[in-house]
Order: sequence, then C-alpha cells, then structure tokens
Amino acid sequence: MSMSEPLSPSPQPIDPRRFAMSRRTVLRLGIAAVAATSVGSLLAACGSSNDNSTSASTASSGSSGGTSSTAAASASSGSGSASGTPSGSGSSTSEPANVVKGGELKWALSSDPPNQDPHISTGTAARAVKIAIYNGLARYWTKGEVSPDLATKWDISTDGLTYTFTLIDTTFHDGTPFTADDVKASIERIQDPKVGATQSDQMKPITSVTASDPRTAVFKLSAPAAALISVLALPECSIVSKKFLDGGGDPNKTMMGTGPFKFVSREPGVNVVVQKNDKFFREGKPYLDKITYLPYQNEDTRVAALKSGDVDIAEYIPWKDMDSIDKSNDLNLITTKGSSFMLLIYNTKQKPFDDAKVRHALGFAFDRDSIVQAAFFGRGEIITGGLITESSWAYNASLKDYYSYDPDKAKQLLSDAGQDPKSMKLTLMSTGQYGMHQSTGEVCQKNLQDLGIDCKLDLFDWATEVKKHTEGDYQFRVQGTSPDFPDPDYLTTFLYSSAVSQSRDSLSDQQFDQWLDQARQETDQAKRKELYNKIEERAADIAPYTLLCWRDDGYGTSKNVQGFEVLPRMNVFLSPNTLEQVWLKKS
Amino acid sequence: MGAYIVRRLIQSAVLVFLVARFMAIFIQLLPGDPAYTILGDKASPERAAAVRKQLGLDRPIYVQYADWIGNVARGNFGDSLISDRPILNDLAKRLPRTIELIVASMILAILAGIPLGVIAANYRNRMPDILVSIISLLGVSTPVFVSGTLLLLVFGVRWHVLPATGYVSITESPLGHLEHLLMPAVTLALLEAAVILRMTRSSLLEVLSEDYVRTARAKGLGQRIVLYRHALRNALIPVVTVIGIQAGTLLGGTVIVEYIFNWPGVSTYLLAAINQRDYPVIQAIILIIATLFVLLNLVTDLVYAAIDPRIKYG
Repeated sequence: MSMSEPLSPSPQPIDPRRFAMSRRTVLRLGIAAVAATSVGSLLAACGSSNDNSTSASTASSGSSGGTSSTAAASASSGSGSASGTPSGSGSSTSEPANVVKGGELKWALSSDPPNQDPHISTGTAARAVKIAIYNGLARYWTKGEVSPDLATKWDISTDGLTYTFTLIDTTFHDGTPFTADDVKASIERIQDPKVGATQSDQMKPITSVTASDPRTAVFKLSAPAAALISVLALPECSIVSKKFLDGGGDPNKTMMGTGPFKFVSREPGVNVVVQKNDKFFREGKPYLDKITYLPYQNEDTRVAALKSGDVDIAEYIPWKDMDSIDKSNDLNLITTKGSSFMLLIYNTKQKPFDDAKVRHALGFAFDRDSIVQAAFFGRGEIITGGLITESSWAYNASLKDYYSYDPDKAKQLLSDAGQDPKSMKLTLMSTGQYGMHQSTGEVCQKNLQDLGIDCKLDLFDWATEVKKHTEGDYQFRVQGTSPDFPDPDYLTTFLYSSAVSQSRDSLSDQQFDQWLDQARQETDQAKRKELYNKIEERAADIAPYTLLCWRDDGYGTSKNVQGFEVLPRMNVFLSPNTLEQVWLKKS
Repeated sequence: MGAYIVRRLIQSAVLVFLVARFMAIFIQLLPGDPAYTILGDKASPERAAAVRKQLGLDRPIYVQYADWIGNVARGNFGDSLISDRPILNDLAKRLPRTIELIVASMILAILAGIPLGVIAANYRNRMPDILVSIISLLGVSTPVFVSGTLLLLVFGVRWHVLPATGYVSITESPLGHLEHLLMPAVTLALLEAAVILRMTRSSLLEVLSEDYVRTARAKGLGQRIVLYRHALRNALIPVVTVIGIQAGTLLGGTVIVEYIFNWPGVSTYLLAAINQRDYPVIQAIILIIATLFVLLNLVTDLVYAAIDPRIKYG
C-alpha cells in the first residue's frame, strides 16, 4: 500500500540549457552581495554532493505518455510441481551498443527516506534507495514478471510445501561471500515480530529455512503459499548479511547488501549517495558510477528541479504536471496505467454502514468519471467491477460493469434498505495533504449531497487520518492504495479479517477468510480462479468498500537518461530495479 | 547596563522555558502518532502499541517531559524517533544553514531598503518616490510563496540562470553554494526590504521636519550633509527596531522558503518532523527557535542604546 502520497504544481517550457551559462556568469556578480554571510556557514558545511551547475542531464527510454499496462498477475505461481526457472527476461542481457559508461545520475525522491531498513517499507522514496543497494532471491522485471536475482532458479515440490532455491555466487559490499546462511538469517529476521517487518505475515507459512549447502536454500512450509514467490520478489524481502546482523549491525543505520550500488553517505534532508559496486554479479552492470538521491518533499519543487535540469529523474510526478512534461522537448514522461486505486472504506461497526445494503447502494452513487478528471486530470480508469483486472488469469468477467453511476438506483436501493437519503447525515474522512485524496472526497461529497444526503467532508493531515483509520475513529474515508504484488492473493490485504492493513472496525467476514485461505493454499490455478471469482462477487455484493478508479503513476526523466524502464501497474515503484541498466547520453 | 543584561537574560530563560513547556503539551495534543510513521504501511493498533512502548511514549507525559528537560539541560536533545539519529547532530548541520539564509536576506534587505528609503524621502512625492513606493507596496503585499515560486520558475526553470532548488555545501563549491543561496535569500529579502524601505522613508521625513534640521539648513549646510550626517542617524533608530522584529518574522518565512527551494535548514526539518510526529525533534527545534527569537529581541534592545545615547538601560 502506498504510504507516501504527494501533491502537485506547475511548469513552463524550457530553453536550451547552454544558453544559460552566459547569463549565469552575469548573475555571479549579484551573488557577491550574499557572499559575506556564507563565511559563517563554512563552519557548518559538510559533505553533500551536488555540483549544482548544469549537471549532465540524462534520460529517456521507452515510450512516453501512458505506456504499458501489462499483466496484473503474471508472477509464476507454481502450479503443480517444479515451477523451475522463472522467466529470466531482461536481466543480464547483452548491453546496448552505444552505452556510455560512467557519470552521475541525480534522482529526485518524493521525501527524505524515513528509514533505511530494507525489511520495513516506509514508502516509495525509501524503496528507491534500498533497491539500488539490496537484492532479493527474485525480483520484478519490466513486463511485471518475476525474474531471478540472487537465486538462479527455484523448485517447488508437488505438494507446494518445499521450495529449493539455487543461489548465485557473489559477495556483499563488505567482501563477505553470499551464502544460503544469509538467506536463512534474512527470512528469520523478517519473521521476527520484534523487527516489525512489512511482509512478516506473508512469511508465516515458512517453518524452516535450511542451508543444505552454501549454494542451496530449502524452505519448508506448513501450508502451501501460492503467492510466496511474488512476495519474495519484493524489496521488503531483501537479503541482508548474516555476518553483519550477528555482528550487531543495524540495517536501519547502515545499508549493506549485494546490489549494483554501494552506500556511500547520507546527509539527512540533503542527499543519499551511492556508488557503483565493481563486483556486482551481473557483469558489466551497473553503467553509472554514482547516483545521488535528493529528497524533495514539495512536489512543485520536485517538478521544477526536473524542468530546470537540477535532477535527471523525478519520481511520483503529480498528475497536473504530466502533460507539460510529456510535451516538453527536453523531458520524457514514463507512466504505467493502473498503479494504484482509489476507494471508499466503510467503518462497518457503525450505523448506517453496518448494513451491507447501504454500502452496496452507495456503489451506484459516485460519478467515477468525474473523480478521474478531478483528481487525476483524466489519467486513470474507472472501476465498475472487482479489483482483479482483465489482464489477470483470475479476472471475473461477470463483474464487468457491476456498478455504474446511477443516482436513481442508489436512492431506490437506499430506501429498500430502510434509509431516507434526506435524513441521512454522513461524515467522510479524507486528507488535504494529498490533492487527489481531497478532490476524490469532494466529488464523493457532492454526489452524496445530490442524493439529498447531508454529507460533511473532514480533511485531516495524513498522519492523523492514518491513526483515526487504524483506531476506527471514522465513519467512512477516502483511501488510495495498491496491491503489494501481482498475485491475486493480494485481496487478503483488503478483505481478510485480521489483515494488518485493515482497521479494527472494518468488516470481518468468515466467508472471505475461508475462501482466501483456500485460494492461497490451492496449487491448481483453475481452482484458485474459481475461488477468487467467488470472493470478488461477494465483495461486490456486501461491499466492505466502494472501488472508484485506478490511477496512472510514473516518472519524469531528462531525455539523456537511457535504459530506465517503468514496471507495469502496481510494480511501478519498483522501477528503480532497472537502475543497473541506466546510462547517460552525452548531450 | 550589565545588570540590565543579566536581568533580561534571566527573563529570557524563563520565557523560553515556558514556551518549551507549552509546546510539549500542544505537541502531544496533535492527533497522529510516530508509531504509525515508523511502521509504515502495515501498522496495526497492536504493533503501534509495541513501538510506542519501545520509544517510551507509553509513559505519562510529565515523566517524558521531565526526562527531556533533564537531557536538554545536559545538552542532549535525544534521538529522533523516526531516524534514530541524534537530534543534536542533525541540528548542528541544519541550524547554520537557516541562520545563513536569514542573515543573507537581512543583508540584502538592508542594502536595498535603506538607500531606496533615503531616495524616496529625498524626492518626496516626486517620480522616484512614487516608483519606490509602488515597488515597496508590491514587496509588502506579495506573499513569500508567490514571490518564491515566481523567482524559481523564471530564473530556475525558464531561463536556467540559477539552480532552481537544493543545496551545495560551501566546502564543496563556494560558488555553487552562493548560487543556491541567492534565490531563497532574495525571496526572503523582498519582504523585509519593503518594510525597511517604508520605515526609512517615513522616519527620515519625520526627522527632516524637525527643528534641528532646519537649524542645520539655516547654517548653510548642503542637503547632502544635512541628510546623511544629521538626519539619517536619528532616523535609523526605528529602522533598527523594525529590522530586529523582522528577523523574527524571517524565521517564520524560512519555513515556506526552505520548502519551496528545498533548502535543508531547520524549517524543512521541522516540517518533516511535524508530518511524522517526531516529538523530540519538534520540541528541540521549537526550543531553539524560541531561544533565537528571544535573543534577537534582546540584541535589538541593546543596539538601540548603541545608536541613541539618549536611551539608557539601568
């Protein structure tokens, strides 16, 4: 689920940058006036790293505009036995002919990473850094598929209870060889409740990890877990060094992995610097010498930094700026469709949302097209059925257009449920901190008012909203989130009664729990599909939430940036996976 | 004078203590919780409770506060709840950057404001005065977030004459450092220069109509000497007050300016800490800002005495 949700601002076309140099010199005279004061700051100065002036800008790749919207679910979910080697696309293919090696890439983060621990997700910005430094057993690649990483292949037993990973031969950044013991230590760390790892629940079925030899790690499971590989490919399941952990190392303070880049320095609020790992196991990679991550909390400033050439890549481009970046001569916009979705979550312990009929009725009350326009400047798609999209094997075609914008029907259904819209008083919770949450809330409020309902919109800051949600102190709220991984098992996150991301007061439904458990433990894909179809039908019917729309997300890059690709759909923020093949064209 | 300074210092200390005390209470009243920031996406009330316990946030507020005061008295602000880093280290890097920004903008504002104010007074109600007044009116009435954004878009994004955002340390590149400093400093200075200009103008006009100025003129002194040697010095007393008060306002202005230009000073630190509910960081920064503010007022008062021998503290 996306924790960090940013805001938006404005833009202008850009003059060629060389032109700037002469004017810059003129300005230097003016600077002299300020010079005096800076002496004091000598005291404080300490190593940050950007030589501001015209940095080599970079970037490009792939298509601009809304590109690939590929498969929502293509991960190799081992049906039957030995699902063997995964689709090893992309990864260590031969290098493009004209690659320019070396150089420094400047990456605009959407916030100063709140933590450095690879096993605890705190959002997009922190992930962009961790991905450069760590590897998992597997990883997501450019078509959304799971591809090998530290494991060259994995075999799954027919009963789905034994996973055997064959590991590559490489070393950590400190020179320690990577072995199966590191895999064991990492998985056990994720399972340790004291760590609070993001994927600890998903690792629960693993009862033991054994290093049968340094190159082989064997996982024993208590029950089949169909989505296990999909989860292991996430950066939150990165492999850390056993020796480092045993030596009392704190991954939140020191980042040390096997990845294409090594951690160099971090100046809080200023930058994080990583440099090329010469011993990286995919030979010839990475192409860049250095990446400097610069945190930009303010999305307007982030976009300005991209447009002015201060940075080469900016993550999390605000929707209102996508058009201007797309049309710019110097920049590329690379997006994916359907990265995250917007929904309304009901507090089902409170009237009137304890009544499934009321929640169901509201499914027809909202003008989803207006939400896509208002919140995402048209860059999104309305959701009228379930969450599992058409590109997935688990798609339920019968739910297509289940919901629609039909105020009369909504009124009728409400009165069938014994509610008179004119006497209903509702309070919708959202946040003013993220523009799209607020706009979504405003459209929904207006739609409900059109039905005659007295609907109030409460806007809190994000931290407050999260707390109120978790503690059940709300009636219904706007939320923007995304599945963690492409396997439909992600429905567990939203529907399972004890799911950690659910509030104490969201729906707790035994039927969902039972089907979700069955589907997770089922190894036959056809049977899994049947179960997920039933789950989605029930979700549409009893409506623990109302789904509104998918949104596009993406990155802006300078045209000099080559080789950077955006992963499809919910994996969009794993796009830093492709950093190892990024290079900078000389302008 | 010595006794006066001592008395003022004691008063200031009490004031700062009270500010810190009230802030501690208000901060805890903020809804939200650092535990949720730390846990990220997968927070549950149970996990949050565990983290709160780990952080010591489950203890009564007065215990936490007493703890904090004890640590601060020993010069230790504790660690950030979110990053685990010692707050003092982060502040030691960030505070000088904010002070640099404020001092730079004050120098720019004084360099621009006082001469323009003198010109306006000298050419009262004539073209130069009208022009300068219009400029100052614009300066006073344009909010920092508008002027800052405009500067950034024009000089950074459109013309590429200055880096739009960010920070370079002075050891790494002195020129780069100044280039990054210029736009934020100018943004802050605009507001202050306008205020200084108006104050200089009106104060100078008032002084120019006084008897001793007429006497000076009657002696046959030239306009130049009358203006600079006789009038300006006296006219500057209220200007100094304004500059002192403005320094406090600038401290507030840096919150927006640092945010717009991504200047990694205390204000961006404060903003992030508030968003993440990083209580000890918020408390430390508020304490420092309050101390700075109080000290600035003290210094302003003392500067009066230096400029105007009629003012005596005892």
